[in-house]
Amino acid sequence: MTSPISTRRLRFAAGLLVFVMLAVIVQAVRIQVVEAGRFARRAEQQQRVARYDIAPRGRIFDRFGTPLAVSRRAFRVRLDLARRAQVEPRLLAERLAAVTGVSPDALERRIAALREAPAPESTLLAFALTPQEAYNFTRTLDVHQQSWVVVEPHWWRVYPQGDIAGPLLGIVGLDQEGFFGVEGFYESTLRSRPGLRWEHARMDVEVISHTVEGADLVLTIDLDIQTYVEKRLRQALQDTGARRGVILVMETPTGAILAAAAVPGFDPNHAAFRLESNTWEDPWVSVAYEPGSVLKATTLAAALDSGVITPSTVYSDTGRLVVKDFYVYNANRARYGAVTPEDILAFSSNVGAAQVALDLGAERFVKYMRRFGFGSRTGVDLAHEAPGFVRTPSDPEWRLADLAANSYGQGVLVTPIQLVNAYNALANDGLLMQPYVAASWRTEVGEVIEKKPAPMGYAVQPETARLMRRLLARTLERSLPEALPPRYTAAGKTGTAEWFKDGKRQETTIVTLVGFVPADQPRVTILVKLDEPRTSRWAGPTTAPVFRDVAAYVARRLGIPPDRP
Amino acid sequence: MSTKKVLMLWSATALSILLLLVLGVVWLWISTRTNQLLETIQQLDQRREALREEINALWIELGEQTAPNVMEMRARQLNFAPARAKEYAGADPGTQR
Repeated sequence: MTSPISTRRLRFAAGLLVFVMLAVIVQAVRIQVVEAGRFARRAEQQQRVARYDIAPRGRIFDRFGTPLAVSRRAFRVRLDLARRAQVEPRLLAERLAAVTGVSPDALERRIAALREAPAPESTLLAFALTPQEAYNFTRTLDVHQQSWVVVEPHWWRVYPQGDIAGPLLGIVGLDQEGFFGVEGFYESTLRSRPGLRWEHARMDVEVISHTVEGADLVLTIDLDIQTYVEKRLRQALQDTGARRGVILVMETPTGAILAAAAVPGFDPNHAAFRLESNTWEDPWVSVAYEPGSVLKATTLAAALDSGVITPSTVYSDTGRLVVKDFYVYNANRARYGAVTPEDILAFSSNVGAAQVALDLGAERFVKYMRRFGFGSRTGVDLAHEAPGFVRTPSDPEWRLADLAANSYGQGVLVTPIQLVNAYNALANDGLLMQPYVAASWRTEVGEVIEKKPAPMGYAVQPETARLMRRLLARTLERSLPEALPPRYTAAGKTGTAEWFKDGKRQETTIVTLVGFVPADQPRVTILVKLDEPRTSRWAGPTTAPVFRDVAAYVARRLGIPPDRP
Repeated sequence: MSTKKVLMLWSATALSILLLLVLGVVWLWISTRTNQLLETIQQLDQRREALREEINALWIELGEQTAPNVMEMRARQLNFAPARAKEYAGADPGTQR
């Protein structure tokens, strides 16, 4: 017979067992079901480490394969946030300053600030260290001190040609993202994609995704021409006292850019952290300006193409033209009397050009401006292209005076790339090409994708373009023979434009010369633009020597046979 | 239980153990081979990284050495002078055969 006590004990023990079992079941459910995801993640974190492999950004070459931008392996130093309380800021700053050249005081302040910050955005202390510098730095720290920092490899952009073609190439930031120029426009092509792999505790590796190197880019730029053009432009700025300048050299049949110089430029190796933000213009594509008389060529081309005038049409230039309440004058208030289209270009007659435009009519004038590519982006493969501005008769603010002013390049805004492209259409039998800078790119698997020249349509008929070439050649012969390169014919037109700042007319000017060489069968189209020259306010004396030298150099470089004694 | 049945039971057990052993050896071999291959892949990855570094370093050096300004300076040091204008022979259509 069982005693009542032992029965109670048995029931208590059974109850305890049930309770324990229930507790185990509840805990099991919590671990296996309710918080399964969290525990799985914790286990994964303990058992495997994520490794991101970063491939280098694509390289950039000139048309003959000379490297313009390459990435090199470098090292960066970060503060380890988990151990920041132990860090001795002065000691670390001094050791780091010894290899980076940065002031130890500045570094100490940065480290001290990082120690105090609750959640700093970046813990970066140094970057772009060479392997030797990284080694020298870590060597100066003992094992305990080494735990304060993380020294890790990264890719760093290097431009072996220094400041040559700097603004054209653009820059790359710390996170390897490209800005401006080619680096900005071709960001998605040049950028590499990181690979991810899990390194498990059981010593095996699980590759989640492979790294993909950025595609290599081959530009249409001829480094030799680019170097010469930049050197000549720097000289021009010295000679004329101009504030800045731009030169574009375009291959006539294709629209390929052979050289794009901007002075002052910058060295992209050091530019990213030193220049002010307003330096980041692509001056060939993002700066629109009133070009002045260079637009007379497109005005006359439009009138000739539409049959409104012929080469022998004569206008009367009395030195003044009244368009409602707007007065058109020639430069220096000159009068040229009876003028033909050739005279209008050679004398740069505003009065003549305005009469041609008025005869052409606003609708047709604007139609031809569009055909020459003004008022819309050319689609050139450079970042931040501006469309410029052409006022149309449908605009409520449009007046007849706008038509008169537009005919000689006032009241319109164009970019240098639009201007050189429009003249290139005249040089190319009327066919407007889409300008381009990248000739081809090579993917990581070796596939080469070539860019084909892209015609954008005829601006004028081929006969009109040939006629305009003759008129522009005569213009240089008659009014600016000093722009002709030795032993070569050339055609072109100058433009001197006043400019406004804060609504006030400035004393200085912006001068432009656009032309092509040789005049009869053009191979290259060249634009020279100088801002605020001091030695003369006119385009002729300031731009002609530059155009002549660049045209002569490019013609020789391309092996163009001379076409005059 | 008859002797025959006992023998069958023993042989079945022995076969099962043998099968397990064989499976164990095969698993071990596959596992070892997989790890060896992963090790090779890692080594190749490291080699590829090193080659990437080397190729890029060489491109940089090539770019620096072939920069037009550097080439011009070297050419001048070697007493080269800038070329004069090219001369072209005039083609006379009458002399063509």
